[in-house]
This record gives sequence, structure tokens and C-alpha cells, in this order.
Amino acid sequence: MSPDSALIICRTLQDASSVLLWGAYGYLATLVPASLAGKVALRMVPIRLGAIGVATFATLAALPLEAASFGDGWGAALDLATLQNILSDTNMGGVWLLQAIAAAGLVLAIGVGSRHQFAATSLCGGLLLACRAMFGHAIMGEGGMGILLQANYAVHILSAGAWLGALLPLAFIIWTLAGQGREHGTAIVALKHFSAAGQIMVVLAVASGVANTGLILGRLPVTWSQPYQVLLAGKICLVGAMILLAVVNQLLIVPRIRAGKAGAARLLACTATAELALGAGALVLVNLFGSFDPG
Amino acid sequence: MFTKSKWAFLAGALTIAMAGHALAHAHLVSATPVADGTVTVSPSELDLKFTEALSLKFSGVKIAGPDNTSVATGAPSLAAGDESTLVVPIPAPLAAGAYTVDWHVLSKDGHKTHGSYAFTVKP
Repeated sequence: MSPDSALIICRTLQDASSVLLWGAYGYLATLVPASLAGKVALRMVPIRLGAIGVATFATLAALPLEAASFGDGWGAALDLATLQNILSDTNMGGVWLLQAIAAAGLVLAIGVGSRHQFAATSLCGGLLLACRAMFGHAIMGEGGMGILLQANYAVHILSAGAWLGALLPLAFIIWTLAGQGREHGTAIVALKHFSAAGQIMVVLAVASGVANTGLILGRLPVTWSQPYQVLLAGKICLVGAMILLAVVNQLLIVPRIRAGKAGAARLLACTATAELALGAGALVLVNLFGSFDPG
Repeated sequence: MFTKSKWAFLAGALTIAMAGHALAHAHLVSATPVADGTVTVSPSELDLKFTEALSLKFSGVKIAGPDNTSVATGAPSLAAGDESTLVVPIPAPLAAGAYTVDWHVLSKDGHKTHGSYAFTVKP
């Protein structure tokens, strides 16, 4: 495998884990009633520890992978001079230090007390994610336009990440509903909150995504000879499918759950899982077209 | 609390974003000697002007002369006051013939680009 491909895989893993930690624990900390949040978090412990492990590993691995990619191949990955040049001579160095701080924060947050743990995990995951607005195409603008592009980029990844990451605990909560357990009432509350906050996040993500394309490309991504534009168009299709599913959930499935229809919760859990899969696909595409010239 | 933490984040991200630079993929704008041109005097250096600021440590050129011989070059540098121009010294005079310049650069934001062009020395 070439260092370039390894770097793309590394960044995708870093994004996926930081999205999960930012969105899932932000949702549990703020919108899910405490008793239910505690139960869901307990079931998510292996996922959380896994995500923190992946985020930390990917952050540590990014620097030697950059050295191999920018320098003379795999031999440069652990070459001290090359690593030093990345830290001092590219602006990836500063970004990497900030990412390393966020990753350290994630590890430290494992030891924080229960309710604050969700907020701490979410904030560190969010910081790791926000670092994405500090390199690559996010910083291709100049002057005031450059600042606008970066701010818009940050809004895009944080709002999209909040929605996507929250889908995982949501799926757990819906399974609780399907089971008709003691937490039925709180699960309904958590579902309502997800719908309300989710709509805001989707509007923010779509609006900032359109603005992003406008600022970077200045036109619709329909030049099919440019890989960047093909992959971006693919990502837009995946996101379109996610929004369509969300609308179906909102208009058709959620009312049936409120009416106590059997099987509706199971159906909703399936669509939430499908949305997660589509979102993961969108994340992979973002990382692929991030390495191409917009054209 | 959700809104509070969210806004705190955006404010933080914005503050850091202010410090950013304006860069993307670096493309070759112009070169001296001119790409596909002919010079009568052997150049003492190559100047490659790009669209973006470069990371010097990860940028460089290889010059191939007549019969694919490799031409020795000095350590590249960035032009004074212009981070987007790569200057490559050529210590020994070039003999008459066709030369190919293979360049590879890294823009400061972490995007690699490469390309090549040719020029001819004809005294």
C-alpha cells in the first residue's frame, strides 16, 4: 500500500471515531434523560473505548504517514529529520499538536465522573473533528473569504458530525422502545429531542455544504472528468438518501411509534442503522475527494 | 447546555481558523527558463513560480539532460519575499541540448503536486 492511501485510511478512521464521540456523547449529555443516557452509555462502553483507541492511534499514526507521503516513501515514516520538517515547515505540524491534545483529552476523559464524562468525551471528539477545518481545502481561501470558508467548514463538519454520531445511541434507544421496557417514556422524550435538534443540524449541514461547494468550486460539481467533482456528487447523493430516510422516519414511522403500533420501533431502528451506513459512506467519500484537486 | 457547548466550540474553531493561511493545490504558473523555450546562455538557476506557497523541505526538481544524464543542482530555496517561487541553482554550465525538469512540490496545506516541462540550450 502506498503512504498516500494509508494516510487517507488513517484520516477516515480519525474522522469516523471523532464524529462518533462528538455526536453520540453530545446527544447523551444534553438531549437524553439522565436515567436512560446512563443505561445506553453502559451498553456503549466497548464502542466508546474502541472509538477512543482508534482516534488516538489514528492521530499518532498521522504524523509518520505524512512523513512517508510527503517525504521519500515508507523509509521516511520514522525519519527524525522528516518528522521535524513536517512539524516546522508545513502547517500540518500545528494542527497535529492540537489533534494530539484532543486525543489525550479523550483518553483522560475515560476517568471523569459519569455525567461529565459524556460532555468531556463529546468536547474532545469535537475538537479533534474541528481540526479538520485547519488544513486541506478548508484553508484554500484568501483574506476575509478564507476566514469565511474555514468558519463555514467548521460549522459543516460539526453539525453533520453531531447528527451522524447521535444516530448510534439513537439506534440503542429505539431498541429500548421496541422492548417495551421501563424506559419507554424517557425513550420517547429522547426521540423527540433528536427530531428537533436533528432538523437544525441537517439544515446547518446542508446550508454550509452548499456554501462550501460555492466557495471552493464556485459552481455545481458536474464536471465528470474531475474525480473531485464525481466523488462530491456521489457524497451529495448519499446525503440526499439520508435526508429522505429522515423525512420518512419523521412523517411515517415516528407517528406510528407514538400510536403504539407494534413493529414500528423495529422499523425505525433499521432506518437509523441504514442512515448510519450511508453516513459512513459519505465520510469515506469526503476523505477520497479531499486529496484531489477541485478542478 | 447543548447550545452553550456548541457555541463555545464554534467560537474556538473560529479563533483558530483566523490564524489560517490561504492555500490549496500548487500549480506551476511560470518558469525561467521558459517551459518549452530555448535559451542561448546556460542558466545559473531555475525559477519555478507556483500558485501557492510551498513547503521547501518537501519540494524539489530533477533535471535530466541530453542522453538522460542527470544534472547536478544546488540546494533549492524559496525566492526572497515570495514563498511560492522555488529557486534551484545550477552550479555547472549546461551544454547545448534538450533538458527535462521533473518537479514535485508540497503546498503548505499538505497537498502534493508534480509535473515536468522541457527547455533547450542552444548557444
